Amino acid sequence: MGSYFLEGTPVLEIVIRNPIMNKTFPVEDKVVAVIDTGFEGFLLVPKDIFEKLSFDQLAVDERRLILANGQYIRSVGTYGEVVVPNLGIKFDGFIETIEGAEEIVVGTNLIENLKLVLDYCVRRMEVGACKKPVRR
Amino acid sequence: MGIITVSLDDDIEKKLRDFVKRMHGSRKGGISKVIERALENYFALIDKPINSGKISFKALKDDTIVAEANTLDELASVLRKKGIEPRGLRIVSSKPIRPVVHGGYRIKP
Repeated sequence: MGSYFLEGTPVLEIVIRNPIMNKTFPVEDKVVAVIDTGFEGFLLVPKDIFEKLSFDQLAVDERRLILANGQYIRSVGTYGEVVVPNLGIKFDGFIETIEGAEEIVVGTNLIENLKLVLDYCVRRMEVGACKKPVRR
Repeated sequence: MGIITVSLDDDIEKKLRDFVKRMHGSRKGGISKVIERALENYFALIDKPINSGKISFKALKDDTIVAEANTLDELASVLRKKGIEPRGLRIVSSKPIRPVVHGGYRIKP
């Protein structure tokens, strides 16, 4: 599988790593991340996952996210790695968190490295690499 | 928040006002929002490294570069080899993050 529709929402199975602090989430298996083409970032995670990966032990950068209702919200983050095990590829990018976030969200900054085909007619999703990937 | 007075070509001004009306209606602050967003995109574009396909990472301790590599895995390996404590390090990329981005529909605080 690796990528599929979950209750009508496209999701991708990933592993998140903080190579600098040598931390991985989840330690075994994969975690489901929601694909949101409206999110212009790389990856957003709930605060507890951010802390489990010890990203909070590195110096974090701040920025603002514009939410769907036009509200601005403060986000903090640093650089980490996202592994897509089913494709055998990984990407480095800015991983951020906000207060109250409850799900892992993949944004366009990560998706721009992938060929993503969404067929809503048959609820089928196809994901592949569009650039020469860094092989694991 | 600063206030800047600028002169625009008539055509550009018309295009700007039409666009603002389409995006924000007659709400106050529409022109500022559009110009702020346009400038952010412009700065992001000119700040892009010349060879934008190649991204590198640096680890900084108290604003001093202590390690540099093309991937985070390599950077971690360099730090380990040098025996540098990673806690508190600031990691920066040659492709800087945008200060403001859209959060999409899934992100809710």
